Amino acid sequence: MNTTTIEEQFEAAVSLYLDGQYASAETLCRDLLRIASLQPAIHHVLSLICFHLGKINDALTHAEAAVLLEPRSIDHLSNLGDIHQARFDHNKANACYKAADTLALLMTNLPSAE
Amino acid sequence: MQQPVRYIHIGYPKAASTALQTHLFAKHGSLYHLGAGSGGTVANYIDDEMMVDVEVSLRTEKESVYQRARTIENFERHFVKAKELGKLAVGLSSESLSFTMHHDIDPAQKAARLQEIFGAETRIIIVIRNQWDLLKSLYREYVLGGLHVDYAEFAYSIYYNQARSCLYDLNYAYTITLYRQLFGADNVLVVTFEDLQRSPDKVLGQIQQHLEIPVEITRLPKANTREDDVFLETVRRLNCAVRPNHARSVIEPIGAFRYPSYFEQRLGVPVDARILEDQRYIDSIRDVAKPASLPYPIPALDYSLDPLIEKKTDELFGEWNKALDSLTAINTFELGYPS
Repeated sequence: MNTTTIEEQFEAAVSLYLDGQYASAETLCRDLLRIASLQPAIHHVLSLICFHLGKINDALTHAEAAVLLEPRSIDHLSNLGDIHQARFDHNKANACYKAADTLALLMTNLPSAE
Repeated sequence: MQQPVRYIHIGYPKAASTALQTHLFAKHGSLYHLGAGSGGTVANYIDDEMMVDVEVSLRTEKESVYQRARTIENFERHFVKAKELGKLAVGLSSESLSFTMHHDIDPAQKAARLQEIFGAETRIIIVIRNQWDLLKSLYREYVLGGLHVDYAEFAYSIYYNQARSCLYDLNYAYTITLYRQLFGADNVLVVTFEDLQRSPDKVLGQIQQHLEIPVEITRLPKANTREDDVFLETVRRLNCAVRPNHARSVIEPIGAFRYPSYFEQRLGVPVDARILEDQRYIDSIRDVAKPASLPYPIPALDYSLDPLIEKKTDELFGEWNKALDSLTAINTFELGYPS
């Protein structure tokens, strides 16, 4: 039985992805989603992995899921834009980049916590 | 003391079953209702044993697994209690009894088991609905339950896999004949969902008279509200990313999160973490799937079909509805059913 936590397994998946071991990283992320289906970070990383593997439709599916689950993420919106761009869907890509830019601007202008 | 009348409402799904369960069978003071809908809660049964007997034993267990004596004994216990409590009728309601989902046994097999448990004098209630409306509504429910395929693929798979799918369950004439043979023609009441919507007092009156209980309930609330099709398309897209419950292998149980005691007590294993995650996901879906979250518009759920599949399926529905018209006083043409 696997006794590592979801967080530890996710970190392992990210390491595999950064090492270029995309197939193993994909398997681990898919396993993780079966027990943590609503974690946007897992969908986001799986989207990046699928994109590298050339699975553009899967990359889009998980990028959309990441945005739906956590819309206020510049990384999620930019990644979704990149995938639409790769699919030559420029209108949707621009909408994503615009949303990411707006979000970045809002976050820059946030008052300091101090 | 008089023996309470026994009743079984076998469905169909997407034909007011939830409303009947939670607001008629569970609420009427003269009934000892075993479920579903016990306590006015959807999918709830009178106890865990009954839940497992209906949702697993009656629905899915093959002959080699089904423990006939145990199931009959469990029901008998409640029949006795209903009599002791002076109830006028005791019975069960489950739309899955008329229907086949992924791994269900044949509805005819379910009917035979029901006759063995309840006896041949049991009053049967069948609520039918325009088959296309039923399929669309079922599809929407499946999407909320995790299904990821589009409507065209859903309908395609039902036609292509008709040897095992729910398609032939929608031959109402077959189901009515089957139940008349097992329980006697006079014991089988058939009403339509469309009439129930149009004249609820009349149809609810018929049902209560059929069970020989005072007519107390004349209205039903709308239990299942129709979800917006843009929202449902958003849910479908999330389901593509998650693949829970309905979207998983056909050998895995559907809705198993409803009966954890089955795994723990009968099988002696803990509930699979993935099944619990299904529950969490499905419970959360209305909160997390927000079409406005994406920076571009989400289209509405698309109900278009492959024309050949639509034609072939429609022809079957038409043929079956002609048989239904000749078997009952129902005029399916007037109701707008496929003809």
